[in-house]
Amino acid sequence: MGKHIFWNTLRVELRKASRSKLLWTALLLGCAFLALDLYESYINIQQAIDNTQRSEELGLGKGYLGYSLFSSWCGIAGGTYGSALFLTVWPVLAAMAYGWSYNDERIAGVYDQIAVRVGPRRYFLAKHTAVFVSGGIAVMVPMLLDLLVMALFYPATDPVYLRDCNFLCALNYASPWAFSLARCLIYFLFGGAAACVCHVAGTYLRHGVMVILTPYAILMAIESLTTMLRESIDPVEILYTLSPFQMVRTAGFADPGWLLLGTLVIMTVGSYALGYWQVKRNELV
Amino acid sequence: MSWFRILAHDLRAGTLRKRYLFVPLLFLVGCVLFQIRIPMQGLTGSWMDRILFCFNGMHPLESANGFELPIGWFFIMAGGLYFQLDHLLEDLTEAGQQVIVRSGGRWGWFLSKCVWNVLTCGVIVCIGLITTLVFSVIFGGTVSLTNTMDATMLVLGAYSRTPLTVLQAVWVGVLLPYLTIVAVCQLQMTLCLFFRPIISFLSCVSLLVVSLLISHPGILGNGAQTLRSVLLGGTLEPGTLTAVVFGALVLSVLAGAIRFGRMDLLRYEE
Repeated sequence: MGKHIFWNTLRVELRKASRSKLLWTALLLGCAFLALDLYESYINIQQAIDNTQRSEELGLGKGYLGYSLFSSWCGIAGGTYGSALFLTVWPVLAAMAYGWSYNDERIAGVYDQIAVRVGPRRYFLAKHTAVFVSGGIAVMVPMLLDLLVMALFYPATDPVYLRDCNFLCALNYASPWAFSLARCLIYFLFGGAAACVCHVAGTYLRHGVMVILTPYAILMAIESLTTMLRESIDPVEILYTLSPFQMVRTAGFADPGWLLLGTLVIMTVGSYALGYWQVKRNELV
Repeated sequence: MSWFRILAHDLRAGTLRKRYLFVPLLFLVGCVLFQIRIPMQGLTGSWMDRILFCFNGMHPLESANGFELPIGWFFIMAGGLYFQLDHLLEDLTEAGQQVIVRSGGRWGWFLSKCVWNVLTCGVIVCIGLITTLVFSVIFGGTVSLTNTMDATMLVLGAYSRTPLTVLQAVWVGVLLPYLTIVAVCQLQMTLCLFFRPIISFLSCVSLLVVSLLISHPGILGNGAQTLRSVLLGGTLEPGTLTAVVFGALVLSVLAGAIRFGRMDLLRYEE
């Protein structure tokens, strides 16, 4: 009976999330940033084709050295203006999808109605799951589209070298497509986890927009701390990064599986625990 | 109701908030990174060196390939936007609407919000200056409003043939960044009247990232980057940057005032 109630609540929450205008706005904005990335990549590859034709005419050989879809799409490289923009704001996109809903429902009094019927724990777990899924979708779908659209015009040659300390690096050479799709999944998980951080704010913040920006503020603070730590230890040595901003990208730092998984668990479970603690503390029902 | 009473309300309700206790943390990142990057013993840097470093931004890029977010600079700029975001929105609902009715006109009310923005950004920059001053004193730096050549070249990574005069340093390191923060926050406030607040925030953050990627005086965030100034080896004239920032500020205020004069306020209650 209890499980049945939970799944019904979850279904309702997911339906509410899918009808949220802000989820679609987040998707649209993400796609707009990555459309810019695609445009820039198209210009780059056209120039590479011109250069290749010229070098063939001069007898210097041919090939697209350094131009590989698997090394150039936004999820790996981030070497275009569009991808730089996307990779700077992805936590905001994730949170704006549905991260605001708990705070909104609490202030509007909808929370009391639902919590009386299904219980606060089931309600909050269903809300948390829906926020996770919608946040993940808001980040992953533009990424996936970027990969697939770029595959239409970018050569799918062998990817460039990845260090052994990068997660799933062996898969990068064995099956670059599987590796790229796995990176999309990592974006989904990090998008979801970042969106869940909204629940840390509880009902302290009155405005939905401040709740949406909570994960961004927290992740930026972690990024700053990581930068300070990194520079104070050894700026040359390749180090593990503790910042989700750096973790989602393979470039630059070591991101072993245990670190990715640990960060995801801390973000998701930690925000659930903190959020639920506040639900119980502010219990009105 | 006197206009000054509205302004007093804005300053009381919008500035005396716990969140401003976190402002020193925004500048702490830049100050700590400055200390970490000091390469040799005996080099302590001056107060102005730390200020210039906090607002360093980044060198102009050939392409986005080498892009790495200057976290200290971005933390200050995005933090400023975050702190300034919700006061206007809070005052558009509930008791705030009573103030609008009693103020006798919408333009005066909006002008008060603009003046509040200018003053509060000043508070943020002043707290930043105090934070950098405290760091200078703690780490044995000179309390001077001129930069030192060693710190400018080795820590900031900038180039200047001679140290800046006090006037030049204050212009590039304090006044221009302050005016840029005011203009970006004002733009965010105006955009809030057209779009959802989160879209306004995202637009302004995107503008800041674009200003990092493209070195052009017409892009607003360039004024807050000391490394872009021609006085420190960049390519942009501080005079042009100041004119652009002022222009953007005036345009934002005008656009916001016109929009606010015509908009339906009841939808905020709904």
